[in-house]
Amino acid sequence: MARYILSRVLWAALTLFVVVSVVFFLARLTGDPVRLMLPDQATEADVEAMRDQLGLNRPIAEQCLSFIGSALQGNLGYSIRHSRPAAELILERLPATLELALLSFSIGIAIALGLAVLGEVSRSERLRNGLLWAATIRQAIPPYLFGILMILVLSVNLSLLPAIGRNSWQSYVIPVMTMATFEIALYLRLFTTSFSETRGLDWVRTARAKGVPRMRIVFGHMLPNALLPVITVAGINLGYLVGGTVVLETVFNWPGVGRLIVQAVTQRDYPLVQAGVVVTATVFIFINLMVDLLYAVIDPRVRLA
Amino acid sequence: MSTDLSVPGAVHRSRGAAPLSLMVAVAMLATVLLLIVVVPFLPGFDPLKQNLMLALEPPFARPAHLLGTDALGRDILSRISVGVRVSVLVAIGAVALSLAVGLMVGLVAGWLRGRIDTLLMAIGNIQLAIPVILLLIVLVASLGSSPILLVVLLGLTNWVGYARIVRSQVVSLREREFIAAATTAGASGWWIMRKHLLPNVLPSVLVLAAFDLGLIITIESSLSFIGLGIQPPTPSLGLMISEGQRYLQTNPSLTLFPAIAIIFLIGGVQFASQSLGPRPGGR
Repeated sequence: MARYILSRVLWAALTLFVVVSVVFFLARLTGDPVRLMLPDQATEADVEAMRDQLGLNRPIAEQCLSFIGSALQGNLGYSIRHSRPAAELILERLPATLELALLSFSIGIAIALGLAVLGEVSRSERLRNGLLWAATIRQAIPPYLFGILMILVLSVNLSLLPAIGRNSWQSYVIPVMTMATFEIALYLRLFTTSFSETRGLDWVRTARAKGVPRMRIVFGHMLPNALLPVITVAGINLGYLVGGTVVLETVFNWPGVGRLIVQAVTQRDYPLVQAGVVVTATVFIFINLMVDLLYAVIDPRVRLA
Repeated sequence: MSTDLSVPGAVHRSRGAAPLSLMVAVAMLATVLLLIVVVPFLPGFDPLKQNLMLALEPPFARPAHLLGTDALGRDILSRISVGVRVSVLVAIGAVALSLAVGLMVGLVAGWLRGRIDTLLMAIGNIQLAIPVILLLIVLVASLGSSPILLVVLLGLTNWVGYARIVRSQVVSLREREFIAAATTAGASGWWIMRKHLLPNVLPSVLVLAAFDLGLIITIESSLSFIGLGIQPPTPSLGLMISEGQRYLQTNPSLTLFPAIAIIFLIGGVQFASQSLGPRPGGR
């Protein structure tokens, strides 16, 4: 167990190291940041002085290591456009993003579970198929488009909810609904598949033959069995959730990290892009580490291997 | 890690009923094909020509602009036609590239095993640890964006799924008799990979490729929506929807028509791939 935990933690650290290095080298591909930072009429001497000051004249490997070193100390560089430390800007925006992602995730998985159990307990093939069809159609609509369609119906046509911003609880409804329905479609399919795989197996038949109530079979026997694949997918899916948030924040004018990164890209504020991606990837890697550890707690095969 | 995802199509088929999902897929994809192939031959087809006198024409008002015009007076139907074509080409190119890379990596890793296998799979795992959209945003921000570059970037960020499936199949195939027979007959590793392993792993990765097509179209249009994908003046569905968002109150048709096109495109691909059977490799 200790070995497993240690190997997962080391793996996460290695991944993070690679991510930070890749982001660093990619940012260097964009050319000279100094020309972007200085006004047009700056002389060659000004440019040289600034390069010296920023350490851009040092060997590239040394620059990369010092970038990683200062990143470890919480220093992620300086935003060109905002003239503030990038880490500060991102930490201000992080709660809004995490709030959106976690709310949608928990609401989505709860509703998916409810619907899947409903489909199982009702014994109606028609209901189950209907739910899966709805899930497929939902997945055919990209998140940003679903958000815009929701705005069109609920804000523009019915004037029920605010379309953009993050000011009142009402402004959460459309963004969370957009993300949560995507999650529902995904997890509903996973739960339903797992239920239909186990439905005919011996241990379920035995439980039924003993007269165990249907609800208890589903919750006590079938559900725990369905959790493993759901946890596996949850880890990968969180990546899509993070990616989806990046795009959705632009739709809803949501003051999160995603919109900050997209704006930084269009304003060519590379230090901020770098820092934003490093922080988001760190959160993602951390969550995946937690998922791996959760796995060991739930599945004895992992724990004992 | 193999969670078998069964799907509406599979459920229908197992009961012997008509594959409804296949019929829906055919209807949706036929519409898309009509848009790509027939619309360019309609009179007045021009996705780029601006005419401010005819800006924001409502749909179905003039035969020359069947679906109306956008804020610059460009023909919506023509722009949707080209946008769909671009999305389809980029997605097919990207999926083909990730399929090729994934096959290569999976075959080599599964056949050679050992250190190369460990290294290749570690690279794949690390790549999976970075959210694809974020990775693409960084790449586009530093390398710029053109359709060809998008194909390359989308292709190179999506090969891991194929490599994993191919590798796991090769690992079990290489223990089978017909591979042992080929080895004893003196066949080289390259020959075995090409003539014996490839045909055996191809069906399952092709199914995965069909599923990925919809995902790649979603990602490409999301990137175009935030302005980091297909660049103007080339029309793209994502960008049209983003431009339409400003006119949501007055001219919702600017958003709705490209939205229908993209839903038909992704939905058609999804329903079609589901009628092929469950998605291999889980996820």
